[in-house]
Amino acid sequence: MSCHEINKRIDPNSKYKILLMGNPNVGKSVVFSKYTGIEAITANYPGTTVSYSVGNIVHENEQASLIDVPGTYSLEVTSEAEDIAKEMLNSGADSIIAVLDATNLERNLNLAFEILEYNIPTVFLLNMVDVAERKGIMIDAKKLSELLGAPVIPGVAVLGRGLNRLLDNAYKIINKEQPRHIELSQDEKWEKAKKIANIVQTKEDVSQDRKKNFWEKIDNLTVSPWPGLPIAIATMIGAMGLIVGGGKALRAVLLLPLFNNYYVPFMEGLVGRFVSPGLLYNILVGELGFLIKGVEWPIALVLPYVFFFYIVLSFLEDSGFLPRLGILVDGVMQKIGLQGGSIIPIFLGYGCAVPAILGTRAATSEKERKIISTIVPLCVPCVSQLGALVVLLGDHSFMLVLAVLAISFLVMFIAGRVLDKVLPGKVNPIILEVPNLLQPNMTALFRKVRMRLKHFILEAELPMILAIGFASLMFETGALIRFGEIISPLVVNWLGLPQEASIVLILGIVRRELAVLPLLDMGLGIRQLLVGGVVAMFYMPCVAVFGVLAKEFNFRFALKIALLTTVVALFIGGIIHQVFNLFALIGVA
Amino acid sequence: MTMTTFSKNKLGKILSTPESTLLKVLGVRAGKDFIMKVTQPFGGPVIIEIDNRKIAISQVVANEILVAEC
Ligand SMILES: Nc1nc2c(ncn2[C@@H]2O[C@H](COP(=O)(O)OP(=O)(O)OP(=O)(O)O)[C@@H](O)[C@H]2O)c(=O)[nH]1
Ligand SMILES: [Mg+2]
Repeated sequence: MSCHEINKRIDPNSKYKILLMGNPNVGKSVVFSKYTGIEAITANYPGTTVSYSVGNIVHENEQASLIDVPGTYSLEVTSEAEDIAKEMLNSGADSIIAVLDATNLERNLNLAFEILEYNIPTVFLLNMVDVAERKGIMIDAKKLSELLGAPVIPGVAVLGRGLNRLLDNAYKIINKEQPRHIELSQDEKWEKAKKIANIVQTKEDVSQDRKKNFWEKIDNLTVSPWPGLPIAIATMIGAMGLIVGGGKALRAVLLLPLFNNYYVPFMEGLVGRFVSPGLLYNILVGELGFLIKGVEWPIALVLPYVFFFYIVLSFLEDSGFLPRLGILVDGVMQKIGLQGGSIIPIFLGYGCAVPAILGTRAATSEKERKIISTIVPLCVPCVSQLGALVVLLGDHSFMLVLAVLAISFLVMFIAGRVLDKVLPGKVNPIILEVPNLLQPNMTALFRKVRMRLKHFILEAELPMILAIGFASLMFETGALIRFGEIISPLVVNWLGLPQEASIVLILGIVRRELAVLPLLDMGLGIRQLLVGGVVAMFYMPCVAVFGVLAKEFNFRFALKIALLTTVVALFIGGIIHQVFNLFALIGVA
Repeated sequence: MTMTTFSKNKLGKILSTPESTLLKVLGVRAGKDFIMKVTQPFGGPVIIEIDNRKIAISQVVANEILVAEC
């Protein structure tokens, strides 16, 4: 395990160490964010947090490190994420905040007993009482506290309700003498959980209740093929429409005018005052000047699509739609060696491959991890690249975008089948908990979108400017032309692209959208657009993805992916061009 | 009778399950009551409800779960 990520080190000034534990998807990361101000990613499906993160809290002038631990159903390990949780517990703590889901008490109690056996002072948050109430479930927290021998605080984490009292207790119990908990066998724990749940829980029938909100009404509908499948398809089409339409509108109405009318003249004027026309001027604000393209590409062109994509993604995450989609498509996923639950990391890949690959830690087999970690860098364009593709192709015809996506699905299908055959081992069939369908909390959603946008800008801007600076240097000095001549058999003869397009093969290594954007001003024809789009789509993962592959698996695996993606990109792009050529020949003959 | 052949929207009791930690911790254990909700097409999973929570179980696994009507 590597410890180089941020937010992982315990601050030496911290007096205490507090663990935040519980079943998957019970709200631990929400609690963590509220206490520490660190925006941990939260989402309505099990397995959101797959690696721990550390944050500081100060309460009554004493600092403690709070650790957001990946969710576990039990301490019997079934995935890498759960392994991390167990390790955290074994390394000890001053107190534990264990989060219980009030809508699913009995099952949550099993883990509660396992945690209590460690004899570390523990306080329980009985979370999601709002959802429980709407389901007609009432829990007597006081009674539960007596039976568990530990404080139980009812609360609603997303609204911050109960969290002050919880923290008070988490501090108060530190160093307090613990009632010793006798160890029970697994079966005895289940028995006890059932007994306690029966004592503290009352349930009234709310099936006729008109107070049910929209989400609770459609909850049942979304898991059956009819009407679940049409609902899913409609949702996906709606999502795509919002991203493409909304992005285009934002770009055309707001960002491009701002950029063209204010930013460009301003920069040209500014640079012109200090630099006389020539090489340096061109590198700064010329045709490929990095002060121009370094802002136009990521901000004015790609950002609008990224913005709407993040809204859609966050909405799908928080509602609990994604696992439902997984269940509906499980049959198809089996054909490519995966299982329905794999749809979640693949879907995350359309945002960025890095969290997608990290997310596979929740998978229960190495084979599943490897298949997902291969097809995501290969055929899932990340949001920046998707935005760039929509700009390049969509401005010509939306059909081109659909064509490239269709080809990517086809390749995903083939790659999945092949990997299923060649990789050893077996992927465990689907066993997936379906979370409650929840109405996304708008404040939380807004914050999530804002955090992701901030990350996007911070992460995109620097590499983008450096890469474009490098490109304009090559362009202005003529080095690009020489490089183009060297690989012109590949780019010109095999792919049918102009010689200068060779630049995308270099820049695409830095960031995936840079495999697309330089093609914008080359005046490509429709066939060249298709070839260029396809090559870019399959071409190499960016350096960040390469790094995460090397870390999660090993350097060789990362190298293999880089090679595979390059070969597939050039092969398929070339085939398309050659087929067009063939048609042209026949057409002539 | 196996879980895959159990009829829809009926209340059932689980008699035995294959050895699986994940099934156990999700509440799919001998002696528990469940409601069969729906079976997904193309060899997809069955959806059951246990303790008010829906769980998707692959048909391969559900075939090895023995159940009885309540
Ligand atoms: N209605 C309601 N929703 C909540 C509450 N607490 C959390 N949620 C939602 O429940 C979902 C899960 O929250 P997370 O914080 O991601 O859960 P987690 O325990 O960190 O999950 P893993 O990282 O997968 O183990 C999110 O969509 C939250 O917005 C609550 O008290 N009420
Ligand atoms: Mg979490």
